[in-house]
Amino acid sequence: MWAVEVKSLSYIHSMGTPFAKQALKDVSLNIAQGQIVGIIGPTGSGKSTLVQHFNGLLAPQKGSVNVLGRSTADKAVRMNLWKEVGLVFQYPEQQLFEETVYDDIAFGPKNLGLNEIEVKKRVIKALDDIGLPEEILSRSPQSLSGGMKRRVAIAGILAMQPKILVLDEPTAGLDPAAKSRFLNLIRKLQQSTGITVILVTHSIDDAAELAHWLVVMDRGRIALQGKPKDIFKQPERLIQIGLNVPVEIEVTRKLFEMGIPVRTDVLGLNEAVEEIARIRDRRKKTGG
Amino acid sequence: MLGNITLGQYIAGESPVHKLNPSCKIIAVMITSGGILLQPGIQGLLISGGVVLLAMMFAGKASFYAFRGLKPLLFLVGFSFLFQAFSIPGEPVLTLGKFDITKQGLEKASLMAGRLLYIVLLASVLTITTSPIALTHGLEKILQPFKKIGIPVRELAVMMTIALRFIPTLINEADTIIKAQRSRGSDLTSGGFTKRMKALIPFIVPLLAGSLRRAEELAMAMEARCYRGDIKRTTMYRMTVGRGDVLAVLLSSIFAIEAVILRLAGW
Repeated sequence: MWAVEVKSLSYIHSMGTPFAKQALKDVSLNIAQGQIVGIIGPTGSGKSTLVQHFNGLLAPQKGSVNVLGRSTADKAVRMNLWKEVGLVFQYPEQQLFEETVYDDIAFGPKNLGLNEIEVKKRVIKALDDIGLPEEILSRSPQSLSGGMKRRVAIAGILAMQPKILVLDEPTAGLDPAAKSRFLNLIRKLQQSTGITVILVTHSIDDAAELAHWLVVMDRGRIALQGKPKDIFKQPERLIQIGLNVPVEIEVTRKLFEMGIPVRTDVLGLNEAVEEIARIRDRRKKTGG
Repeated sequence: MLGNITLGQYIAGESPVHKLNPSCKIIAVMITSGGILLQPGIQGLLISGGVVLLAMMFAGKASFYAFRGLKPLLFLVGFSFLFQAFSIPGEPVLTLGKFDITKQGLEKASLMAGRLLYIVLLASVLTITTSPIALTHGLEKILQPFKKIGIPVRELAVMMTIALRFIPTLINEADTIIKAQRSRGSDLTSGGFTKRMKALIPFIVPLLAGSLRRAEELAMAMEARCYRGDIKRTTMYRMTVGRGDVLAVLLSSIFAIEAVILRLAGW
C-alpha cells in the first residue's frame, strides 16, 4: 500500500470567478511508506496545494487522491485524515495560542480523545524528539525565541504521532546552524519511528540532504521525479525551472569538466568533501 | 477555504471606464444614481436602463460580473415587489383570493425594483472598474473641502488605504490558521454554544497576535521612512481630468437634469 497515491489530479483555485487560477494540472505520483520524499519547486508551482490534498483539507476536483489506501473523495475520510497525516504549515510558530507550551503541544492529542496520562506521555516524548528541554513546558510560547517556537509548533504535530508527516517549508527563516540541526532531527526521527515524511521546499539543498525520492514541480505539473542523484544529473532542467543545483553537485561537476576524475553523484556536502579529499590524496600518492 | 471572499470586486482592465479619474467616476455615479431615482414613470425606467447599459458597455467585459452582485439582492427586491404589487390600491389586474394585484401597484413596484437594481448595478460597475486604493484617493479628493472644518481627510484616507491593503493579507493568514488548526483536530461544527465559542480561541488568538505584529512592523516601517501626518504630500500617480472624465460627468448631469425637468413639468 502506498502512503499517498495521486492520479491525474487537477485543481483550480477560486473556480468560476475571474480570479480562477490553475494550481495543479494532471499530477500523478506515488509516495512509498517509510521514506523521506522531497517535493521541490519554485514559489507558485503548486507544492502547497498538492500537499493540502494529503490530509483532506482540499478535496480533489479532478482525478483522485488515496491516502493510506482510502480515497479522499469521501468526506468522512477527509474529516478524519488529520489523525494520521500531520501537516506542519509554513511559519507554524504563528499558530501557537495556548498559555503554556504544554497546553499547546497537548492540543492535538487532546482532540484525538486520548486520556490525560497518554496526552502527557506524548507531549514529553514529542518535546524530547524535537530536542527541547522539559523546563519550557510551563512557559508561555510567546516568551520563546523564534526557532524554539517553531520546534514547539512542530512538537504539537509530532505529539499526535501521525503515520505521515508533511512539512511545508520547515526551514524558512532559520539560520544555517538551526537549519542543519533541524534537518538532522527530522532524519533521526524518521529513522527511529519509520514514518513517512514529505518535505515541501524550494531549497534544493534541504531536499538533497534528506530525501530518498524527489518530486520536482513546475507550474502545477510534475517536471521530474526520481532518486536525488538521478535528478541532479539534469542541472540544466532544474535551472530552467528556476531552481538551483546543490553546491556540491556544481563543484564536483566543474572539477569533472576540468578533467579531475571525481564522482559527480555525491549527495550532501560531507560526501563531496570526502570525495574531493580522496582524489587529492590519491594524486599526492601518485605525485600527480 | 476563504478563497471565495474577494475584496471589493476590482477586476483590472483597460476599458475607458477603468481609465476614468476616480473622483470624476464617483461623482458621475452619484449624479446618475440621483437621476435614476428622479426619472419619472416607466419610460424613465427605460431611459435609466439605457444609461446603465451604456456605462456597462463602456466598462467592457468585466462589468458583466456586476450581475453577480445582484444575487443577494434578488430576495429583497422580489419580496418588496410582491408586497407593493398587492398593497397599493387601484384598478385590479389579477385577483388572488382576497387580494388584488393592481395596475398602479405593479407600476410602483416595478419602478422601485428597477431603480434599486440599476443603482446596485451602477455601484458594482464602479467597484469593478476601480481599485480600492483608487477609490480611496478619489473620495479623498472629493472630501477635500471638509478639511476646512477640521475633518482630517488625509489621515482618514491613509487609514482606509492601510485597512484595505491588509484585508487580503489577513484573509490569507486566517485561511492558513484555520487549515493549521483543523490539521490539529480543531472542530467548530459540533457541540453546544459555549463549546463552539471556546473552539474559536485557537483561531482568534493567533490572528489577533498576527495583526498586532503586522501593525507594529508597519508603524516601524513608516516611522523609518519619516512618515508624518498631514503635510503636503505628492502622489506617485497624478490624477488628471481628461476629456473622458468631463464627458462622463457631463452626460450623467444631462441625464439627471432631464429627470429634474420632467419632474418639475409634473410627470
